[in-house]
Amino acid sequence: MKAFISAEDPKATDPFPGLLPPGEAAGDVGPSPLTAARLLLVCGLLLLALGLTIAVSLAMGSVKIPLVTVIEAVGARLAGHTERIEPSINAVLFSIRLPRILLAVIAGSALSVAGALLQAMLRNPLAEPYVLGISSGAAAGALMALIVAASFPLAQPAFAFLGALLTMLLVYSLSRQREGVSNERLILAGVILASFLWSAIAATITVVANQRLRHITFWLMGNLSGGGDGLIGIIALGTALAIAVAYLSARSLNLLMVGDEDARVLGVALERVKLVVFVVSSLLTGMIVSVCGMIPYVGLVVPHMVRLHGRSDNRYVIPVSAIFGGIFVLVADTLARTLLAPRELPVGAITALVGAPVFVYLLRRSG
Amino acid sequence: MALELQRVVFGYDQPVIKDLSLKVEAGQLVAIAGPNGVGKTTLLRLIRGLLRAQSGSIRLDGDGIGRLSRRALAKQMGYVLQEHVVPFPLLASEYVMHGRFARGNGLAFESAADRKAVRRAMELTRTAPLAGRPMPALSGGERQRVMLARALAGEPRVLLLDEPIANMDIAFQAEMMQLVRDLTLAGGLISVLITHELNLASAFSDRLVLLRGGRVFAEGPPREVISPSNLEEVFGARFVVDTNPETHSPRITISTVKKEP
Repeated sequence: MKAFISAEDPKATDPFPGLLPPGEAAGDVGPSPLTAARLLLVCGLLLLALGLTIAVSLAMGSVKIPLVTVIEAVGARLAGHTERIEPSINAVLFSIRLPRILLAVIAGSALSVAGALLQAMLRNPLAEPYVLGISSGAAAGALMALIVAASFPLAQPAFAFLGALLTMLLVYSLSRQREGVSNERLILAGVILASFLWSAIAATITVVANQRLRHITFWLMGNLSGGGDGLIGIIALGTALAIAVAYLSARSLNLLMVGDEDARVLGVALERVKLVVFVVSSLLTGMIVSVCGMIPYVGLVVPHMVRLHGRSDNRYVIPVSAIFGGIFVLVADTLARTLLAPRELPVGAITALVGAPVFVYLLRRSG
Repeated sequence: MALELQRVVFGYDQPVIKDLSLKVEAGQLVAIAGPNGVGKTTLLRLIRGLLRAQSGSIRLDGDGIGRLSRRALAKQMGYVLQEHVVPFPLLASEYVMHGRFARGNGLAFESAADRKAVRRAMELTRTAPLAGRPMPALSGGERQRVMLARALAGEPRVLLLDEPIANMDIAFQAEMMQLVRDLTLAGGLISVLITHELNLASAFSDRLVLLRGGRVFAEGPPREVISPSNLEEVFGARFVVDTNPETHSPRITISTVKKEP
């Protein structure tokens, strides 16, 4: 009897009986939904592209090495047969070029994810570590570390992280109004803080006039030639961990993109997600700025290009930006070191030449 | 099943809601009207648990709202606001999927049940053809219906609507009101609607509540509540009230703005 009732009772399958034609319509509405398989496919293809870009970048430079030789050398290296590689080629590829290439990839990943996180939390496609002055805060912190704590190995990234976090909290509180964060105030606060911090940095460099600080102006404009100065392992690990932590909040961030109150009402633990974004994006920015200086607009251009593909879901945007951002900065840095060889351009100049027009485009579209 | 407010008091610097009581049963659409600043939106924020009443109680099936977790509340309540700007090219189907958040398990991708609920919600609101379009590209009226779809996707028992028809042309307004009424009846929803559209509220709601000075001034079936004297008391203007010859619901026309003596 009970089975009979539930079979006849339209309420059992349809919470709104009578409003829709009987029978189940098949398929999904809208475009294909995001699934794990689809995400893995896109990431796999992009990783392949990244590998190819790394190989091409390894081949380029003052000593031209044919791509085939590069691939053979990488294969031998991966198989553990270093002795099969010609020593001079081995040195150029793996001691000179590879550290710089890896650093470029890590920097691109970190800055792109930081940008994607800030944009989602602040509901502003223009938000980005450089535009909001967070990179300048990190640079000021790293400079402080050089002056007061140069002998501690991790002082620079740690101080840069604190500088980034403080700047971000300041920009956020300056742009907050009763109705939430205002877009105009956010960008304005970022620009003003950045110019203040820049002046402070310039004044400090002049006053201290220390031999150690001589190379700093070059570093500030974005320079990957240091190859991470021995910190690359820890920065790679830190970046991977930070991105993983951010990914755990990706679905909540989707709702934050629509509104704080909406997100809260729909069940998001708002304060926790915001804390994650503050800490993770400061950490990513701080680590990268402390070893590479400022590479502007990466966090703006990369997530924007990823979203152009038609998905704004952060479970897609975060990992895809991480890989695509690596490719983007690697291409920019490869151009920086080969375009005018033997002279070198700051990688930050290249990304800014691409990024500033994208900023203007997004600004016009949002207005 | 009912939503029950008892002697609710709330204020910021000045008291906004003073001693307000209200009961909404399942399958009822209750419209709330009153002058600007009377606390209508504040009332909905209290019901959604975003504000905490300073005294009195708000209960859903006898459980105090304050004792339910954010997530538990999210599962019970769907809501639609007046206007919503989405700054990213979020697709309408992705937006509706947000309504499933509280029913998901954090990171996992949406299940077949989630996708089915989204499809049903979009078909009910006749927004399925909009599913693949980005939110910023939709018109105000379309966005409003997509927002209703998001609320329905969560399979709520309470539907809260804060001026959901304010940006629509008159045909869209009537269609939306009819839809909300049908959903309320068919789904046994507890529906609370805030609106300035007294004519539509009278035509489609089961009960009408007029607020004045943070209290319920009059409450009941629209044809009992809508009278020239009640409206003049609440809005401070003079109205002509007659009967719509087709629907037999009260028809309100403003006649003169009251002159201060």
